Parts: sequence; C-alpha cells; structure tokens
Amino acid sequence: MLNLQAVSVGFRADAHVLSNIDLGLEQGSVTIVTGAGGSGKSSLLAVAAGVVPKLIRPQRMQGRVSLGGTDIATIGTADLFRRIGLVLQSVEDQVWDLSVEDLIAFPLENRGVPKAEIRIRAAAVIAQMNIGRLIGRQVRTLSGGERRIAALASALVWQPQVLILDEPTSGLDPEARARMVAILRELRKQRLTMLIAEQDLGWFDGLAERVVFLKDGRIIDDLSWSSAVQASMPYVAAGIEPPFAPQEPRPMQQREDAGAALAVKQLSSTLRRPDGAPVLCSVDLTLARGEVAGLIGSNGAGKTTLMRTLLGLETAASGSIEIGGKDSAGCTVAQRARQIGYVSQNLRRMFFLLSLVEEVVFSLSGGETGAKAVAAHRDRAIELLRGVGLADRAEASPFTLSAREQLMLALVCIEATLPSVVILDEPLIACDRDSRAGVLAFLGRCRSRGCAVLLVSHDLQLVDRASDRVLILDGGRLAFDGPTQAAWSSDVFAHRGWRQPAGGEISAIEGAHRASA
Amino acid sequence: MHPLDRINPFIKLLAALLLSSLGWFAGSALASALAAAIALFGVIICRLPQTSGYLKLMALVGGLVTLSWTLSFVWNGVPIATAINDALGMAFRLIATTGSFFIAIETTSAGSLLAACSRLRLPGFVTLVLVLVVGMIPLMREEFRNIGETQRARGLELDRGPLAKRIVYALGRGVPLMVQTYRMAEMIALALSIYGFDPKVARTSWRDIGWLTIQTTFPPTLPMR
Repeated sequence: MLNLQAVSVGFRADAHVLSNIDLGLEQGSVTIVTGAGGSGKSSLLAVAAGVVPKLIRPQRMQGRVSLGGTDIATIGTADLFRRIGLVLQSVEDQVWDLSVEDLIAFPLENRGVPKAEIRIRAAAVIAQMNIGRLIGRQVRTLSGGERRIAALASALVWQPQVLILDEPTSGLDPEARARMVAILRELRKQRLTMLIAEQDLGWFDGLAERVVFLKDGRIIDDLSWSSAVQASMPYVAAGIEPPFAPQEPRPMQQREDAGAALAVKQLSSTLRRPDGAPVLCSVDLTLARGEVAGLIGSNGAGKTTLMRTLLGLETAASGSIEIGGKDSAGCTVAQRARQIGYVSQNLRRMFFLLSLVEEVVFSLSGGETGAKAVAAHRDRAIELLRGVGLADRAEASPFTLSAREQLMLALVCIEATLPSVVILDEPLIACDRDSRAGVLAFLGRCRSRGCAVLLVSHDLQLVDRASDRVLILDGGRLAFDGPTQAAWSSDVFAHRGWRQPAGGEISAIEGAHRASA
Repeated sequence: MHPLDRINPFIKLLAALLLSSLGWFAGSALASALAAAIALFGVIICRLPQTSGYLKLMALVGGLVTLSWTLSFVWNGVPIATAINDALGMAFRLIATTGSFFIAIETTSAGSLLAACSRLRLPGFVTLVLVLVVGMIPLMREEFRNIGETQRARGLELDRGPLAKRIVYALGRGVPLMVQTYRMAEMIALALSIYGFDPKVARTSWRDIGWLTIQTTFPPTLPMR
C-alpha cells in the first residue's frame, strides 16, 4: 500500500535525518516506528505522508515513496492528503479556536464539498468514533486525549487509505490512552493501513503487527509484534526504555525523619466544579524532606488545581500551606518560587533570557538579570550546566535546545534556587533513556539535599521507578496516600481500571510476555 | 460559545464600524462620550470573559491619552478648557472604537467567521487573514497568560517591586511568546495545507448562513451508508 524505497533526507548539507530507509506497509497492516527523540521518527512519518517534500522542502532527498503503486510525487497535494490521513504530534498547535464539528468538517469545506455531504460525512465519523458529547465544544477546551481524538476524526472524514499518527498517546493519562488505542483497534478491524510513531509500546498490544526501530535516521531493527514484546535489546539500542521488561528494582531509600518540607492542611480551592463542589476538597498532605511522592489521577481529579494552589497561582478557599516550615499565606507567586521550584510541562514557557548561562544566573541570584549578576554567578552557572552536559552551549539561546536539553536546563535552573520543594509536572512525555536517566539523577540529588519532590505524571512506569510514595487524587480528594508498591494493589488504583506499571507486582500487559532477552 | 455568535460576523463588524464612526465624526466630546458609553454598555452586558481586563486597560489607556493630549494642547497654547474637551474627545473615540470591535471580535468564533467568509465568496487570502486575526487573538492571549504564570512560578516578580524592573520582566514574557507565535504560525500553515485549504478553491460550510444570522448548532444527521 505504502512503500519507501532507499529514502534519504537531509535538511542541512552536511547531515541526513533519514538514511537509506526501506519500508513497505501492507494493506490493512499496523506498523509502529519507535526510537529516541531525534532518531527521525517524525521525519519518517512526514516523508511517508508526503509532507516532505510537498510542503516542507528538504535540502536533499533521494529515493522513492509510492502509494498504491503510484509515486507520490505525481499525486496532487489535495488528492494525496485525501488519501493519507495525518495527525501530527503537536495537535494543540495546529488548530485555531475551532469547535469540534468545525475541525471535523474543515477538510471537506476547504475542498468545496456541498453542505449536505459535509453534514453526512461529519455525522458518520462522529458516530463512528462515538464523540457526540464533544460537539459544540471548542477544541482548545478539551483534554489532551479528546483533542487528539477530534484531530483523528478530522483525519478520518475523507476515509483515507492510510492513517499516519505521530505519538498519538504520548503524555495522555491511562484512560485517554486506552480510549485512543480502542479507537485504533476498531480502525484496524476495518483494514485501515496505519503507520504510528510511538515510544511507549506497552499500550499497543492487539493493535500493532510490526515494530520498526530507528536510530540516527536509520532502521536498526524490524520485528514482528510477538518478537518485539519479548525483546529488550533493540529498545536499548534505539535509546528508549524497553516497555515490556521488568524495571530495575527501585533502590530502597533510607530516610531519616528530617521534618516536613511541605505541609498542606485542609486545603480547599475556590475553583469549583460544574456541580458546585470545590475542585479540591479538604486535602491534607505532608512531604518529608528528601521524599519523592508521585501524584496520579484521572483528568479532572484536581492535580492541576493542587499544583496551581501550591504555587500560589490559584487562591485557596480554606486551609493552609507551609513550605519549609513557613506559612506561605501572603507571599506572591515569585516569593514562593524561592521555596518551591516548578518545572512546567511546557518548557518553552519557562525561559525568557537570551542564553543558558543567564537563565541559570537568574535562578542562582534570586531573580537578578544583567551583566553584573552574570559576572557574579557565571562560574557556578557553568559548573551546574556542565553537570548536565550543557556547558559548551552556555551562550546559546534556550529556544535552540532540543526537548531533552530544555528539560535538563529547567532542572538545573530549579536546582540553582535551592528550593525546599520541587513540583515536576509531567517531566517526561517520551521514554528516552537519556531523559529518564537525567530526571532520575535530578531526583537523586534532591533526595540527598533534603528537597521534597511532588512528581505529577501519567507515566506510571516513571512514578513506580522514582517515587517513595504515591498519592492518588480522585474527585478533589486524596483517595490514596501510601508506599508505591501498595498503591498498585490498592482498591483505589484497581477502581481506575488502569494497567499497573511493568514493575508492579501483578503487572499485566494482555497477551504480552515479559522480556527475557 | 457566546450567544451573539449566532449573528453574522460581518453585521457585527458593520455595527462596530458605524459606532466608532459616530465617535470619530461627531464634533463634540459629548457625542463621542455617548458613543463610548454605548460601547462600554455593550461590553458590560455581553458578559465577556475578558471584560474586566478590557475595562482596566481602557481606564489606563484612556487616562494616559487624556493626560498626554491635554498637556500637548496646553503646551501649544490652546486654552485649558478646550484642551481638556479635545483630549477627552480623543479618549472617548478610542474607547468607542476599541469597545465596539472588542465586542464584535470576542463574540465571533473562527468557525462562524469562516462560514460567513464562504457565504460572501471572499477571496481565500482575505478569509485567511481575517480568520487568523480572529482565531489567533484568543490563542495568543491564553499563551501570554500561561507564560506569565509559569514565569511567576519560576521567580519572576511581576506583581511587586520597582515599576521599572516589573516592566523589564513583563517585556521578558515577549521572548517565549514570540517563539510560540512563530511556532504556532508555522504549524497552522502546515495544518492548513494538510487540511486542504487552498485560496484558489471556493470554500463551502456545513452551516446555514443568512445575511443576519448564522447556524451554530451541528444538525443531527443520519450517517452515510
């Protein structure tokens, strides 16, 4: 159905992003392309979809891409994107403030399809994906999972021959992932050919038939699904965490009773749910110095409101927050920031200075900028950047860094303020071994310095690996607060219907075998 | 979605144009004040989410305009009473213009505007520019707010301290906003091509579009067999 033959692509004269790719997709097959960040997954998908070279022109491109035996270079752009449905990775950046029905109808309206046919086709895809409840809502008010489903519906409205999805489940909560995979399974039953770039393969059992491993723009392995679930070496070679392998045992942390870094008492939010109940309801929470607690919960459980209230971005209706033994009432958000470090999910929003060294100096100096501050703190800033391998880019703009490098810079900036508490909001949406190792090393340094960490994440593998304790928020209340291993076997967790992380005691990925290789 | 989204966006834009013209072409400050009052009344009764921010901004800008123009007129030898009258007239015209267009833009969804442009058979590039302006404003505003919150949480003191420092810090928000705007524009351009937007092709719409009103509710339709 879709064939890439000896495809090489370069956006610079001196480097290829894809080298000599040979990949054929059979009609009705589901293929996953996996690899670390920067391995060329998105570029491969862009080439397969025809985005490269039709919309984005590379400096060099060799090889041939054909759809149904026809070279896609000879297919018109409009016809090509009718035959290939594509959902990009940053869905939130590619839609305006459209409503769901407008987004679904958009490709049809753009091609001048008559009104009656638009309505029929849009209604068909809405029914097929069971998203009638989303009609009338603006796409940007939807949760991450719902947005991707709306974008998928828009890609399906032409009934394409091939569906190409870039990281469709990354960063989603387990429920949303399960919903997305269930939809894709239904599409597979209809013999839709799919090419999916993904790092966390644990959710794709019963869907994918083949896994292609990419590294530095080259295919380094190509396995059937049954072989891929039993392997671990290809994942390691590709620079990602083996999704089906048991995790390394978490080192037991011996912590002395060093007092509370964060004490939250009877915290309720002013923000209310549609039924009038507060989003946060009488939350009691204590984090000891040097403790890492994982906070999990469904969308709407109140995680974001809890984070925002701790940071001072939301007003508390009642209750108290003590950070490092001091009541935070009356402090501005910036004053709290000296005690409570925050790593945002969207790292680009965190930076505002022109170089890495200035960003670190801002944190080291307690909020100073300019040449005088840089002169006073430069050496220490460079030393901190060296610790994460960024010293040689000290004068570069933070916005030129890769996602992994931006994460490392954010962690260094937070570390430089010597906070009592750190909140990490979904620090890893990818499973790169390097990124994961960087976050785990940061957590290790926090522990040894006596800094408490609240790790807010849908990545249960990371929570399992990194946390001493798990907090499960449900309907604005802390429904579970206990040791990590106990969390996975608790009734509260079982009630969610989520799969346990691979390291959990009764982990079950249906039909998958534990890695032995 | 605001109830006024049902009104054809071009009717709203026309009404805004008429009200702001009344403010500009009226000779006296009193007539401009009337136009400004109508615009402000409209802003308040429409209960838009950004009303409070708009009113604060207009109080600040209106005050600055009145002050600066009064000083300028007096400096050039205009009697003080006339100077104040003319300066107030300028401020009221500004409020009448921004207020009326604020209502028209804030109560219009990108989807309704796209449909209205299709109905008028506007050239593709005009549709694109109009929809980008209307569609991007809420996105940029949301992004600006999010950046401000993230940077406050990073330790940037935007709420207290010397005014000069706060202004410098506030300008710092422009850096990520510019990066994000560029990135968003690039992604939207790519998405438009993928979604088949072609300025040369006449667009259609799923909506019933009248000269005065526009359909906002997707009709239940039986799926195609």
